[in-house]
Amino acid sequence: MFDQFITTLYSGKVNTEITRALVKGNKIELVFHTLQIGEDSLEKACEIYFENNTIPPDEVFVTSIHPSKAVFQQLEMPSVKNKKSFLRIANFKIATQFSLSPEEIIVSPLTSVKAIQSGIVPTIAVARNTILKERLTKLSNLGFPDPDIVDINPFPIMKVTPESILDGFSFVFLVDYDFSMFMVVKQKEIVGLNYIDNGFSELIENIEDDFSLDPDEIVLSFFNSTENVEESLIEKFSDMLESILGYQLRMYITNTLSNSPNMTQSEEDAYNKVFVRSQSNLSTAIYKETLNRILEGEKIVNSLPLRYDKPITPTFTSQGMLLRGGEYLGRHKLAFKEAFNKDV
Amino acid sequence: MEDISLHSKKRSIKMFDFVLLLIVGLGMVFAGHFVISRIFAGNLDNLSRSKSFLLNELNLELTGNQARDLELVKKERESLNLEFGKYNRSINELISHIDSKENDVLFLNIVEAYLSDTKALQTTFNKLEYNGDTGEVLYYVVYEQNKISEKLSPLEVPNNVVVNISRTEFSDYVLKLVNLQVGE
Repeated sequence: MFDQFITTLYSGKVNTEITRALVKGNKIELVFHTLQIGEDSLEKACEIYFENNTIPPDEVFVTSIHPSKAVFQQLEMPSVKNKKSFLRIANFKIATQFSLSPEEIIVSPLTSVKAIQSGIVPTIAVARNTILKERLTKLSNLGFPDPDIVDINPFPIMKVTPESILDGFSFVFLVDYDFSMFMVVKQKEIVGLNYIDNGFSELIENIEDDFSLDPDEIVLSFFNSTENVEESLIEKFSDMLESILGYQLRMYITNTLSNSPNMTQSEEDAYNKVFVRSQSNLSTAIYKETLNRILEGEKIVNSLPLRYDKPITPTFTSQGMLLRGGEYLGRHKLAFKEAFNKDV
Repeated sequence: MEDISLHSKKRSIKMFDFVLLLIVGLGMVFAGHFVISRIFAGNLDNLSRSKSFLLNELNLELTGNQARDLELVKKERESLNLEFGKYNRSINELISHIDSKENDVLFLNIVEAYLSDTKALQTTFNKLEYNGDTGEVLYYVVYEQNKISEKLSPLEVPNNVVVNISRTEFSDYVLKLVNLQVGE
């Protein structure tokens, strides 16, 4: 009766992952996990989920939408007293900008009110109400309850890292299957953001026929962490990625910095750290290695540190959503019970 | 950095469940408390009814708590001791008062006994003194010469009586001066 469960649904264009976990004290124990790849991954994953689970309507349900369904605006705002008045003003200003009525859009800030009061131009996520409703109706038709949290990918990943890591000046590079997000972070606040329409699918598409591993297996290992990561794979994929990302990466950095209203020329050199995280420990290691090669001597590249000792099998997005669900239940210091749970 | 939230489930039903659960829980707690207190009260009534005669007479209601009961009994004992002392003092005062009155009565009895000499022609008091312990009576008794009473000490009168008689004779009468002293 008093056990609290969290269900998360992370879905991209070709991938769907559903996890269910039990919250016991300060631990999250994974009780179900499925990752499906393919055009109909959502339906397949739901089918498997409901074969093994019954979700009560009051269970905490966390999901996210693809960032292509939202836009990110950096908008000058007057000084606001609290988040409520910020949302009211932002909603009105952005609706005017897009020539829509305020009821047609939903806004959610990525910047804290405290930072806005200190003069930072906030970054605001904006989604169309119709698109969100469409998504929620689809989930409802599949058998899920109304969600408690609807996030935007890849931001749940930020939950897996301790906030103190982002004190100071740093870049954060988050990679998903078909997109990436390049962020400039100053004193834990996002001051610049660049949505990139490429992800690790580029690497998978370039796998040659004579590759030693099965392509499906590689796709899974790009999403889900395994206990041991093969060094040879990191080497091989980094070579591949270096040729793809080589010149683009500098362009992302320059664009993000120059487009940010919060940046000054003098501050640019202070951003000497780059944190990278993709969906699994293998894909993260590949991007870390590649960025390290490209930016060697200019920036210090590291994978975005974790709040806990070892990653568990599900994607970092799902892990982040589970942690958000835990916070929704009032548990702010949660850690995963088992590092690797292969049976779920 | 803020967490994004584009939508959140309305949890009014959950809140209703919580309130319902709270009401049921509180109801159970109060009902339990009522039942238990009734059981204890019943047990205490039985206990006080089954106490000894003394406790019933003293109207002592024991609570079942040893320390509290000990305190109750101690207070009752002290109050009874005070009452006992008060009555004791009153009794002693009454006894001493009665004692003092007994002496008075005794003195008057002695005087009455000596004076009840019916043969005397006339009795004249000269002195009558009494101070609670000792008394003295001085009186004259006149007899006709031939009707004189020789014996002037009634047998029934108790001790501690000293009688001195002075006799003076006239031709027809005899005059006796009687000095009667009672007490030591």
